[in-house]
Amino acid sequence: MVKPLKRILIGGLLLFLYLPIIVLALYSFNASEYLGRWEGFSLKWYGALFSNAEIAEALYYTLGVALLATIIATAIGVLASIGLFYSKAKIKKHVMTANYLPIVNPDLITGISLMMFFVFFRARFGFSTMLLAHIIFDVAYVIVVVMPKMMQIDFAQVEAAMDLGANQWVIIGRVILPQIKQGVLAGALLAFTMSIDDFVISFFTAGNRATNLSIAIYSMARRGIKPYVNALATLMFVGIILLIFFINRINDSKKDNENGRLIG
Amino acid sequence: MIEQPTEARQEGLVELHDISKAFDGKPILKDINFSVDKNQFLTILGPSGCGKTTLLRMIGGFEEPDSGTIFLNGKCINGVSPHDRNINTVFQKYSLFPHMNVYDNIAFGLKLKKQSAKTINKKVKDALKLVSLSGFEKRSIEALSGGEQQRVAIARALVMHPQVLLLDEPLSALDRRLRLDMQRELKEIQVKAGITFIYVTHDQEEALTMSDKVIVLNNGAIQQIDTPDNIYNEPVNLFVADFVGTNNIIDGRFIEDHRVSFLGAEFECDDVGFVKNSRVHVIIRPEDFILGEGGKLSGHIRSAAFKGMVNELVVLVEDTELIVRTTTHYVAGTDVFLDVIPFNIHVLTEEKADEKV
Repeated sequence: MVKPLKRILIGGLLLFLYLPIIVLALYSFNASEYLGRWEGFSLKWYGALFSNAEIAEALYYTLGVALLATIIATAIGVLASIGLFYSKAKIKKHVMTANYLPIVNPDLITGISLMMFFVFFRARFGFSTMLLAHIIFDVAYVIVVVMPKMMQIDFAQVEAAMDLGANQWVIIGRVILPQIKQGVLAGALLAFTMSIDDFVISFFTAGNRATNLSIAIYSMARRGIKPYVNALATLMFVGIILLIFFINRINDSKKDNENGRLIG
Repeated sequence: MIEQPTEARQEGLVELHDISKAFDGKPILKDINFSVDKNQFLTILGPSGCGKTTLLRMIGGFEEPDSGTIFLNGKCINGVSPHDRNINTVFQKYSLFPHMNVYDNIAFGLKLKKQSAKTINKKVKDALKLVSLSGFEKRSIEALSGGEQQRVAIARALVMHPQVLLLDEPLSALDRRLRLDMQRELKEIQVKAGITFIYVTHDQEEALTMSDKVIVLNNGAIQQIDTPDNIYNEPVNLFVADFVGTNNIIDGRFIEDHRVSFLGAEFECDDVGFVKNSRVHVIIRPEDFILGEGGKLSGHIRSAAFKGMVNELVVLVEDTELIVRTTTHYVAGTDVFLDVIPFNIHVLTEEKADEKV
C-alpha cells in the first residue's frame, strides 16, 4: 500500500511543479490568439517569434552577456580557486564564506547596490554594466562549484610535482587543471544558466539601452501576454532543461570517479 | 659514536650542521648534527611531533632551517629549490597524480627534463622492474592497491636518479602483513639501486629492520645516533630505552663497579663508572629474564598472554610489575623465580645519558 501512495505523492508533486509550464508550452502551439481557447495546433507563434526584431535583439543581449560573463567569470573563478588552494586554511574559510554572499543575498539588493555603484562611478548603463554585474554573481557560482573538486587534491601532489622539477605553471597546467576540469565545466554551465535565468539584477544594471530576454518578456507581459511569449518561454525552458541535464551528467561522472578511487 | 668535530672529518654525502627550526616561536628542532654516507640506509626514528618530518622536509627543500647548514656532496644546499637538489622524496600519502596512469606518473619528471621518448621509455621500464611492477604501465592509479601505489611512488622518485631518496613514513598506510613485505623490499631496492635512503618513521621495528644507522629523535633533539643493534641493546638514555622496544625500567642503586642492586637483591653487571651508591635506572628487556625454580627475585605471575611465538607475562616482584617474555608456558596466579645474567643488565642515569648525548 505504501509504494503506490508514494508514487502518487511524487507524481502529484511533479505535476504541480510542471503543469504550469506544460500548459504554457501547450498554448505556445495554440492557433488562437486568446488564452483559454484551443483552436488547433499551429507553429505560427514560433514564426512570429523569429521574425520579431525586438525579441531578436533581446536574445542577442541575453546570449552575448551570458557567453561573455561565463567565459570571464570562469577564468576569474578558476584563478581564485587556485589561489585559495594555495592559501592558509583560515583565509580559505573566510573567503569561501564571503563568496556565498552574492549567492544568498537577495537579487533585489544585489541589483540595487550594483546600480548605485554604477551611478556613483558615472558609468554608462548598457551592455557593459549588465555584463559586469553578471560576471560578479557568476564568479561566486564558479568558485562554489570548483572548490570542492579542488579540495580533493592532496596538496602533497603539488610538492611531489615540485620535487620532480615542475614550476608553478606546469603544476597548474598538468596537475591541478586536469583534476578540476569537470568542476570547471560544471561551474561554467551553471554560470551560463544563472546568467540566462537572471532578471532582477539585469533589470537594475542594464539601463534602458540594453534589453535582454527576461526584461523584454517582463515588459511584454505588462502589455498583456502575446502567445509568442509562450513560444519564447517554452524555448528558454527547453534550453535551460538541457543545460541542467548536462550539468547533472558532469556531476554524475564526477561521482563515478570518486567511487573508483574509493574502491582502489 | 657521534661524529667528531672538524679535524680529519670524513665527509658524508649529506651533512647537517647545527640545524634549528621553530614554527611560530615554538622550537621544533634544536641543534641537529648528523651525516649520512653514500649508500647508507639511515632512519630517523621518533614519536609523532618530534620534528622528524620537518627534518626530512628541510633536507628535501620544502622547509628552510632558521639556522644551520645542510650540505650535499660538501656543497651548501640551503635555499636551493627541491628539484635542484638531486634529492627526491617519497611522500607519506604517496601523492601520485590520480589523473595519470602509472607510466605517466613515473615519466612526469623525465618529461620535464625534456629527455627523449626512447630514454624515458627505458627508464620507466627499468624503474618498474626495480619495484616489481613490470607490465603495470597502462594501469590507472585508482586501480592499484596501497602497496602497489607505494611502489609506483618509489619508482617515480627513483627514476630521477637522485643521490638521496627521502621517505616519509611510506609504509604507515599499509596493513601489517604488507608492511613487513615492503620493509624487506625497500631494503632490497635500496641495495639494488645503490642510493642513500633517509627514512622517517615512528615504528621502531621498521627502523631496526631496515637501517644501517638509526637516529632517535625526541622533542626536536637527537637522543642517540647508532647502529640498530646498539640502539636496541645499549640505549643511552631512558627515552631511547623506553621508545625502542618494550623495556623494564627499574629503580636501582649502583653499589660499585660491576655491582648493582634492585628489587631487593644484588646483581653482577657489566657497567662501570657510575657514582658509588647513587640512584640509577636498570633496564632489562622482557626476553632477558631467566625463569625457573630458583633465582634472586621471587615474583607472582599476574597475567599470562599467549602472543604466538612467546608468552608475555606480567610478574609482580615486590611492588614492581615486570614484563617478561618466555617460550615456556606459565599460568597466571602462580609464583616464579627470576634471574638475570650480568650482560643483560643495563644501568642508566639521566646524568650519564646527557653526557653521552
